[in-house]
Parts: sequence; C-alpha cells; structure tokens
Amino acid sequence: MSDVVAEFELSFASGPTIEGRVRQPSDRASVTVLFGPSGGGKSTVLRTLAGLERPQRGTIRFGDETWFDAATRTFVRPQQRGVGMLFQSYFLFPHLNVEQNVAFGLSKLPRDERARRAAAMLERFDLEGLAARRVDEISGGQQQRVALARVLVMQPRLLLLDEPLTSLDQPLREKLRGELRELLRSLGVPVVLVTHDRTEAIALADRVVVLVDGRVRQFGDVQQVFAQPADEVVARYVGVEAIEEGRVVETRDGLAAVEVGSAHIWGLAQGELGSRVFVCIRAEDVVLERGATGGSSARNHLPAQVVSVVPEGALVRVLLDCGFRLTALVTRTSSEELRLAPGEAITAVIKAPAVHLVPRG
Amino acid sequence: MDWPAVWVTLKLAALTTLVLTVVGLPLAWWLATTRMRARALVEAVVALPLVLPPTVLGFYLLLAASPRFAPGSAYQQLTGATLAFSFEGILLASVICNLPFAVRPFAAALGSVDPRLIEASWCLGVSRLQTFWRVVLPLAWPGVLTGLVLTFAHTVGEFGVVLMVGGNIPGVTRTLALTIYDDVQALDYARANRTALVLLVFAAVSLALTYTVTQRRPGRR
Repeated sequence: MSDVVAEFELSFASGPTIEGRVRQPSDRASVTVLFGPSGGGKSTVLRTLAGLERPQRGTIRFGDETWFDAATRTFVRPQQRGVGMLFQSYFLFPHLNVEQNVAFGLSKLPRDERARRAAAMLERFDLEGLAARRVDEISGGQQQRVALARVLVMQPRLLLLDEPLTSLDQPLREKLRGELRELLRSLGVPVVLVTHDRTEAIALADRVVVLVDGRVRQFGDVQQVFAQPADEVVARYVGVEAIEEGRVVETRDGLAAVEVGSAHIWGLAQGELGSRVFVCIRAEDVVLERGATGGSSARNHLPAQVVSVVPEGALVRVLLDCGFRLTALVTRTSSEELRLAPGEAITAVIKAPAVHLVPRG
Repeated sequence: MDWPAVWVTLKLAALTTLVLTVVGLPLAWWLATTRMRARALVEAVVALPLVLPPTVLGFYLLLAASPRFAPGSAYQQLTGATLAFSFEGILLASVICNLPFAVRPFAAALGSVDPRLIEASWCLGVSRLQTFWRVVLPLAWPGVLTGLVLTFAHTVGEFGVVLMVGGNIPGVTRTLALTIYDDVQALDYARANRTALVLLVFAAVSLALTYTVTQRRPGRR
C-alpha cells in the first residue's frame, strides 16, 4: 500500500482556483471522501489525481513515485499512473458490448489471458449472462457494475470514484450503498471518492475532506468532521451532528435499539441485529428537560450532564455528556429558564425519527 | 463513353480520397481537440476552397506547379518531371480543392465523441493513438464515411481546377467532367448527355447511400 499525498493548485482561465490537499494514508485500505457542495471543485481534484488535469503549482506523489511536480515539470500521463477512475455517468463504450467493455484495458495481454481475466471479473460482478449485451440495453445498476468491473480488471493501485451512486434511482442507491462499502473494504486498494450526499459520505468514508469554493476547509475522521465542523462555512454545508458508532441490539416495530457506550438509543430500523451502525443526531433535534418525566411521545430520554454552554446569537449550543458526546441547540430563553450551567444534570429527549442510523457493515 | 477518361477520373478520385484520409484525419483530429489560437486560421484555410472560384485556385496552383517557381522547380529537381499538366499535378490540386469536403465532416464527427469516453480509455492504460483507433474512430465512423464519400464524389465532378492545372490531356489529365465540356464544344450533345447522366446518377446514388448508412446509427453517445 502506498501513501497518496497531493498538494496542488489549479487555475482556470475563466474560473476559480482550486486548491487540492489530499492525504490518503497507507495504514489500511481506507476510503477518503471528498465532500462538499456542487461546483466546489471535488471532481476537479479527482481528475487531477487521475492525470486528466494539469495543475499550475504543487506536487502529487504516490508512495515514492512523483506523478506531478510543477517545479521539475514532472507529469505522469494517466495511462502510466495505474489508477482506476469511475466516472459519474460511467461512460461505458457504446459501440462495445459488456464483455468488450470489461476487457477494454487488457488489450496488451495475450488473448486467452485477457479472456480469462474478463470472465473472472464478469462472474465476480454477476454479469456473465449479460456478456454479449449492448451497454445501452442494461439497467443503471448493471451499468455501474460493468463500469466497476472495467476499472477493477486492471488491478488499479488507487481507485477514484466520482459520485458513484448519483446516477441511480433512490431505492437502488440505498441498496448499493451498503454493497459498495463492502466492495471497497474488500479491495485492499486506497479509495478516493467524491460525493455531495452526506449520508453517502457518512456511510462510506473513513476520512472526509470538505471542499467548499475550491478550498479544503477541513480534513479528518468522518465522525470528527461531521460532529465538530472546523468553522462556520463547513458547518453550513456539513451540518452539526453527533455521530457515534454503535451496535444494533434489538429491533421491534420498525425501530432499532442501538447500544452506544452505556446508553440505548432508538431510531428507525436500519441494519440487521448485531450490525455496526453510525448513530447520527442533529443538534437542533435534541430537546432538553429538567427531571425525568417520561410522559412524552419521544422514544429517547437520556440522562445527561451539561459540559459546556456556548451562546451563538439567538441560540445556545449545549454540549452534553450522556455516555457519549451529544450537542443540543436550544434557544437562549429556554437555556435561561432551565438555568443551564456546566455540571448540571439534565434529560436529553430525542424522537426516534430524528435518530439517523447509517449502516457501516 | 470515353474509357481512358473514366479510368483517369476513378484513379484521381480514389487517390484523392486516400491521401485525404491519411492527411485529413490527423488534421481533423487536431482541429477537433486543440485549444491553440492557430485553430481558427487553419480552419479558415481549410474552408477556403469552398468560397474561392476553382479558376482562382487553379491559376495559383498552376503558377506554383510550374518550374519557374519554387514548389514546381523543387518537384522537378526531385523527380525530373514537371508538376503542371501531369496527373500528379491534378492529384495535388484535387487534394487541396477537396480539403474542406473531407476535413470538415471528419472534424465534426470526431469532435462529437464525448471527451470523457476518451479520458476513460486513457485511464484504462490505453495510449492516445490506440484510443483514437478503438474509441474515437468507431464512434465517429458515420461522419468519417460521409467525408470520404463527399470527397470521392466531388473529385469525380471536379472541373475548374483540373482544367487549369491539368490542361485536358487525354488519358493523362482529362477527366469525365472535362469530356462533357469537350463534347458540348464539338456539338456532340448525345455523347455529352450520356456522360452527364452517368455522373448525375453516380452523385445521387452515393449521397443516398451515405445518408442511409449514417441514419441507421442515430446519435449514439
């Protein structure tokens, strides 16, 4: 496994300047997600890593190879980088059938070796029956599998995915999200993935790079980035929410109980019994109460201790410790009525539908 | 029919098409993909034969081809023959004259191939040249075919430039289009009509075939 370290700057004659700073560590096959609003420069960063754009400044290194260095005018062509690039709309070759698409990059191999590797890849992606089909005759989900097979058959050293699920219909997207995570885990290849969908980012990322207006605003673990945005700009796009890892311990009536630390939290069922999930709770969905009433429709009443109280305009950000870190956003008036202060005991109330469970396989 | 003229015409059209395939495809690919400013100038030069009277083009080509000027004399020193009033002379003239009929459809067809398909091929380790053969050309084929047919058909019917540069030498530079002119001058209308009819039918059939073939592959990405 090799580190990807890229720091570069791209300027376009009639457009923005994009600063890329990506670090993909080598400790394991991890997934780095480039996250941010449309037009923020995410795809451009990906294209630069692939060698399809040439920056004006900076360097891109992969392990001990230099792919780009503005100072020495080093530029390694996309053909020589050994990266696998999955484009947003896949861009399968329309004049070739499924099998020919998958075998496209293997043209330098002897014929039987090429056929063997293509066949193995078709089997792995459940495409054997479609080998002779034209690519515009198969479904979107199948097209995605062909595109992945076409890239993975080359055994890339680095996998780049540009909005891999965006061109699919909503139900299919949710189904494939879980499968994609398993696939990426099993590859043992570092992955850089672009998405503007926060659920996708939370479900797939080990690390998140937040790109807004062509600039990297934050870079860190997925939990850290979503729970503690570095500044207001990041917070605006990322939102603030507690993200805690837990295990599904009970499912009942379409709800799932997740064990997080010592607490049990109920959310709308996602994931099977015993599976790992991320529990996501937005700060504005947390209600604070004095004493344990229990007489409300909300499923979750968590005893908590106030850690800090920070005024933010008309609102107050209350950091709580309820076995895990939770942030509540309440009005200044409520905060005064409840006499919130560090060390006070309080009950955090959260409706089950506000508890967002994201399976993490 | 004037069979030597038929032979000269077909030879000229075939060779012109061949030369323009070899020269025109790279030129069209460059025009379709370059971001250089010189592109506009090159495009204008390529389109020039569309608007210039063939006699003007033929006149300057004749001057250039004569041994008294640099290109013609260089050719003479190289081959020992003169370019003017020779088959090679009308071939060169016909290539230049047909440049827009080949290069413009080529460039339009090559340029309509989605650049991301090309990039996808590069990222799969396939070289630029291989990508051209395996992705661009198969997808642009209908437009390229149109260019080839237009070039061939237009060369068969070329008159002004061939007359100016070739000088209407039977069996060498006299094409079918020139025999019609000669026949009319000799008041042999029946003979002129036979040749003209053949050329008319040929032009109509080749155009109809091209449009049929290209329509069968509707705007595939």
